[in-house]
Amino acid sequence: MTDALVVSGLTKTYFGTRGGTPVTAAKDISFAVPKGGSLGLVGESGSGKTTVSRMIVGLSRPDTGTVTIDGRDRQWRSRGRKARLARAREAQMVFQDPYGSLDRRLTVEDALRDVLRRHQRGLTAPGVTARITTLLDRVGLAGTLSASRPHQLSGGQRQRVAIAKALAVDPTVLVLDEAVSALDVSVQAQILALLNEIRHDSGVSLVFVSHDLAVVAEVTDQILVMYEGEAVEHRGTDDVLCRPEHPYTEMLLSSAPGPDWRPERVAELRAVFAASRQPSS
Amino acid sequence: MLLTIRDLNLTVPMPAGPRQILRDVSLSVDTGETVGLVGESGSGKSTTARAVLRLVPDRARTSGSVTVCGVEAGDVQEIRTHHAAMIFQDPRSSLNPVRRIGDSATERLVHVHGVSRAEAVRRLVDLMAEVGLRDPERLLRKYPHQLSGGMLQRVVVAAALSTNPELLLADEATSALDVTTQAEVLALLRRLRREREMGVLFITHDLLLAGAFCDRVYVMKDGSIVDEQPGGTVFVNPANPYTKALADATPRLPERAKPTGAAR
Repeated sequence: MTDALVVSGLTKTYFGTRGGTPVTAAKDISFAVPKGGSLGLVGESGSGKTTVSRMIVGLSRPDTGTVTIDGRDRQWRSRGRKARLARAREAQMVFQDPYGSLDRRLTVEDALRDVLRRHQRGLTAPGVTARITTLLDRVGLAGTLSASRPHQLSGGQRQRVAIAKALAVDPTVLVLDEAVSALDVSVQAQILALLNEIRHDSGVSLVFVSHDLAVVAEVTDQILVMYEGEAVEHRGTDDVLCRPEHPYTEMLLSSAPGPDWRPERVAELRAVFAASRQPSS
Repeated sequence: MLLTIRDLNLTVPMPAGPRQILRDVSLSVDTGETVGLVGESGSGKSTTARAVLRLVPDRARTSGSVTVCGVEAGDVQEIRTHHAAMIFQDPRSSLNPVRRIGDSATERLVHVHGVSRAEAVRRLVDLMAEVGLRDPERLLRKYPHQLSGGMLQRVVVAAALSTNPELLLADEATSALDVTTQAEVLALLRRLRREREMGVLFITHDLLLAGAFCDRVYVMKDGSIVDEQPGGTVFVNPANPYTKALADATPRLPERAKPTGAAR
C-alpha cells in the first residue's frame, strides 16, 4: 500500500526582520503516513510543530524538501481555481481556536453549504442538503444546531463544526494543530473518539499536533518528537511513550502528571539534555 | 486556617432572570497546604477564587463568608495588600501593554510594600531565573508584546511570588505553558510551600495534575463542590461518580517500564 502522505527533507528557515539570527524552524523533517494512519507531532512551543503542519497544508512553502500526497508532489506555484481546489482536497487543517476559522455571520448549515458548493460542484441542491445532514451526523451534531451561529455554540460544538467543514472537502490528509487542547476533558474524549472513527471509516490520514503526550497516545500510531526544528525521535507510539530513547523525550514524558510525578526531575533532565547538546568541538 | 470559605452563594441577575453561579461552597486551605479546585468550564471554580478577592461583578449578590488569615473579606484591601496574590491564566491581562515589564512586575513591591526599586528588581530576577527564564534583567526592559505567552506567564508568576504572599490563588496559572515549563513552575511553587509555608488554592481543569500536585482536591460541578479527596486518590478509582467520570475521560500515558535514571 502506498502512503497517503510522504514528507521528505522539509526544511524552513525564517530570517528575522531586524537582522536577528535566522531561525531554522524545521530541519530535514521526513515521515510517511499510510491511508487511515495517524502521526503525532510533539514538542515544546517553538519546536517547529506548527511550521511543519503549515507546510503540509500549503500555508507555508518549504525552502527545500517535498510534501507528496496520494503520490502527487504538492505544488506551490500553480494558480487558478482548479489547482486551488485540488490542493484543498489534498489536505485540510483544524486549528486550536475554532472561532477563528468560522464566519460568525453564517449558520452551521450555511457554512457547510458554502464549502460544499465550492468543492463538490457535482452535487444538486438536495444532494448538498443530504450531505450536510450526513456531515453533521458524522461529527455528532444533531440537526437542531444547524441553524445556530458560532457564538451560540460551545467550544466543543464549534470544534466539531470546524472538523465537519474540513471533512466536507473529502481531504486525503487532515492536520489538527492543538485542536482539542482548549476543550474540557469530557468533550475532548468525544472528539478524540470521533477522530479515530473518521480515520478508520473514511481512511483520512491524520497529522495530530499537540504538546500533550497523553492525548497524542489516544489517536496516533507513530510519534515524531521535535526539538528546535529537528526530529529527535520518530518511532511507533508505544515505543516512544513506553521505551523512550532520547533524553528530550524522557523529559517530555516525565513532565506529564501521573502517580509518581516529580516536577523537580524535569529540571534535572533538562540539565542532562542541555549538556548532551553542547557542541563537541 | 489560612483561607476559609463558608456557605458561599453567588447570584448574578441576568435578563432572563437571576442565575446562581455558586451554591453553598465551603472550602479551606491551611498554612503550607496546596489545595486543588477542579472542574469543567462553567463549574464555578474561577468565580470561587475571584470571590476571595471580591473580583466579582458589582451586581452579583453574595451570601456566606470568606476569611483570609482571620480577616473578613469585607476588608478586601487588607487581604489584597498583605495576605493573598492571584495569578490568572492570561498573563497579558495582568501586564500593562505600554509599560516595560519590569515596571509592571515590580509595581506592587515598590508602591504597596515600600521596597526599593533595586531590591524589588533583585527579588524578581532571582525568582525569574528559578522558573527557567534566561537573562531576566534583559527581559524586564522589554514590553509585553515582545515576549511569548509562556515567558510572560512566568514573569507574572515571579511577580506574584515576589511579594511573599501567605495565600496564592492560581487560576489555571500553568495551563497555557508547555508541560515541561509547567513542571518547572510547579517545582518552584512546591519549594516555596515548604520554605515559606505558603498556602495555594490551585484551580485547574486537569484532574491528574491536581492529583499529582495537591495535598487535597475539591471537585466542582455546576457551582457546587461535589467531592473532596486527598491528592493522589484520583489515580486509584475515585468513589464519587462525577470524579470518576472526569478521571475516565482524562487521557493517560500508557504504563511504562521505570525510567532508566538520567539517560545519557
